[in-house]
Amino acid sequence: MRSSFLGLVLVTACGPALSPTLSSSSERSGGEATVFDEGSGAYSHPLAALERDAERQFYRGKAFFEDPWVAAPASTESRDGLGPLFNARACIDCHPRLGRGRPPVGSEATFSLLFRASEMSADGSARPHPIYGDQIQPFGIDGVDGEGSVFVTYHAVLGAFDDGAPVELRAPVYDFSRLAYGAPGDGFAYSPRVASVLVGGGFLEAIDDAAILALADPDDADGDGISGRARIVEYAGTEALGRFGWKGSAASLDQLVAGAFVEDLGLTSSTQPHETCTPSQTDCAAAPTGGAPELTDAIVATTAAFLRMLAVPARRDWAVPVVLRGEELFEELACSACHTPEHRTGYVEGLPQLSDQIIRPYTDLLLHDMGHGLADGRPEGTASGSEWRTPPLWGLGLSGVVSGYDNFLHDGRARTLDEAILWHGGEAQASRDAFLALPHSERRHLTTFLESL
Amino acid sequence: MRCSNFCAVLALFTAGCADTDDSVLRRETVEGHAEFAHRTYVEALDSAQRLQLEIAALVDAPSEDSLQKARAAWLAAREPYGISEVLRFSDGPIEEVEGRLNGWPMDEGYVDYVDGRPSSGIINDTSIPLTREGLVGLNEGGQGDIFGNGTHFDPERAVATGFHTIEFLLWGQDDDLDGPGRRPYTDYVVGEQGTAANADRRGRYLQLVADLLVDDLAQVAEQWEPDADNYRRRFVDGDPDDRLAVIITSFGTLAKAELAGERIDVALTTQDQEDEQSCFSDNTHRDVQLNVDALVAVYRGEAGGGVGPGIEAVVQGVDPELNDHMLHELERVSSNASGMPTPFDNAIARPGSDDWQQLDALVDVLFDLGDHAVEIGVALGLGNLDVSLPDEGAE
Repeated sequence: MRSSFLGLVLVTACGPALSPTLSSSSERSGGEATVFDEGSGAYSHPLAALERDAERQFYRGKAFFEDPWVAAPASTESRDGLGPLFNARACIDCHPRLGRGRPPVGSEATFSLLFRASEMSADGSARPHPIYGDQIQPFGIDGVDGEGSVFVTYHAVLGAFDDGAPVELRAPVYDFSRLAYGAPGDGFAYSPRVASVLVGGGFLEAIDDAAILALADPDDADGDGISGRARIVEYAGTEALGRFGWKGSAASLDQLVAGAFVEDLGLTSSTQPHETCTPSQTDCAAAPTGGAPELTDAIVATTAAFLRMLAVPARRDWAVPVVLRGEELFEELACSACHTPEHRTGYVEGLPQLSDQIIRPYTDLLLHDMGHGLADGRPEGTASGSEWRTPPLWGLGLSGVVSGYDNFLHDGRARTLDEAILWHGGEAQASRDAFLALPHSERRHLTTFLESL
Repeated sequence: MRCSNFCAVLALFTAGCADTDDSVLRRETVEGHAEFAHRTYVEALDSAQRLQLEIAALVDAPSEDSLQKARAAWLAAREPYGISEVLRFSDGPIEEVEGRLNGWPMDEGYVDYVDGRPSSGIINDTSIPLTREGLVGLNEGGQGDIFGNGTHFDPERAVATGFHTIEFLLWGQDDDLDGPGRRPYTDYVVGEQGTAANADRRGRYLQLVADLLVDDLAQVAEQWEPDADNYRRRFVDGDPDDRLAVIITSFGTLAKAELAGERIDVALTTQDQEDEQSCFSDNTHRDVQLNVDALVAVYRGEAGGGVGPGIEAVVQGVDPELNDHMLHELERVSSNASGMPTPFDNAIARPGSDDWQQLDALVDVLFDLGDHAVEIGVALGLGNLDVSLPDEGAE
């Protein structure tokens, strides 16, 4: 059982390990099972010292994550069922080396940047888009037209730091004119999403609900300009705290994986039994399936378990003065008000590596209004069109090494950490303004700290 | 140089460790391993050449007898190749040709007819000229989705050459849990007595891939020849510790990541016949057994007929207790594998059965073996060896 609200407050109040001061936990972002790898494999390791059964499950899940799926019918019965509509054939296609996706370059088709879709009603509520459903899937199996690609261009947004140093941001502009099932129409709302880094999911799942709810301040009762709302989703027939996905749409890794299987790969499972065809997509509805459902519960659970056991890489240079100064600035600018540095996990059956650990994910897992610049204007469940769930920052500094490119934020528009910070608005406006006002050296201290994560 | 206290202590320490013997032993182990590699690939080449002859006989005069002889020759050729797989994860000469030699799982419809699709595959597409270069280019989907299979197309499974292609051409699809595939010899009979279209192209295809198999194995064997300017020379002339690290990494990777993880454990979860390696001939139990035999032989210095001391001797000198552990694990692996359930597809399809549980236990022991290989790396001062498969999905 999850610990009580009261119990958690006591821990927060008196646990010295939870104060954001120098300690060994500063280096070991993912608790005692943190892994030490600064190379391209940094996101791919299992938690240290797994029991045998767990380790076997990790590698089986890794195979399901990496192996491509094919359309049904195929001689490989356990690996068919792709589509009818899909974004990718394998999980790893959009999460290479378990790392981030990226927006397309030039006229390249959209791939590891996907688009959620809705139709807005006059009253401001959103429903699945009548033609494209919840998500635009660029590809289709034989006999089914894919929904087509979205093309991205950018326009420059010019500005300057307070010290006069110029800044050029880029704002994306999306071209939906080449979608295959016709123009999406007037009430069309969309939300671009770059595939996320997946390390440490098991720890985020293991934070007690009460600990996250204790950080929420939906009405900004403390008047600091930062609210923080819990995303509530339906999970296993009941209301649950959403903690995964750019808007917190999944309460658990199992829910996240089942959702990604059906939306991104077109693979149905017991909790996601319906293919993503809309009523007007008759070819899609008539296409052969790989069974009902296409995935066994074992495959979904094993894939989720793989993500649960992905270890978090240790920080580098965490104790050098520049980084320590950057860490102070992270506090002073109140970045840490949402990117909560430290949590303590609850108990996870069978996985002591995840249980009762001091972790440093730099997220409160809550929704925050990030202002007009980042808003997608597409409400999703209890999340508004300008709210995003605080993404964890652990492993951030290794993203470029793992992926071979750097891009940040939900749509990958930021090319540097400076740009990512400067796009923050809404509840983060004051922090962003404070960053603009920092002298150059201090700005570098802050980003050097971020790179040490 | 004056001998200080430090020097004296050092001398005592190294004498205690029999340092000179140890480094000689390490070098001998590396040299023995090179000889093992040579002998194994030569044997694999010899048996592939016998297979090539039987295939020629089958194509020249198709009959039940010539088909059975070709099948027997294929099974015989798998024996030394199965042993050689302990050399596979080592950046050696095999790396260059492994995808052509041993690609699997295989989408049979890429090569020949399958149930319900009588005209599928390269063999039945007469617009594709059959040449060895052409087939090499087509292997692993090298020319893309040539049949417009769209989303049924998976380049990794678009295997056109190697052992498993030959296996499919000799046995046919295995639709039966109780026995192997049942391709009739008449698939190779040209004319009215034939049972499938394009018998002439089928025969030519089979001969081409057999030729290719022989040439690829010859190329690898040549790189392991003694007294030549080749891979073997660079292997034995290098730092013995670097080479030991390679040997032990390949040993551990075969045991844990490849055999236990990728081949057996995933099959136990999917219970899918396609997840057994030699599915057409139902010879997967031998694939497993031979890999296990190779692990035991390389460790114990019995490989290649006992041409070198083996890892055991080196470990025994450094950490006898770890060696004892390893010997114990190897015994467990051997006894578990010796009663391997057959056919493999039947065993994986019945979760919880005795056969299934035996395979499940084998995975555990093989994981232990891989973990011990890592411990041995540390004990021998070779650093932290990585016995996982290289990451996929890099752009």
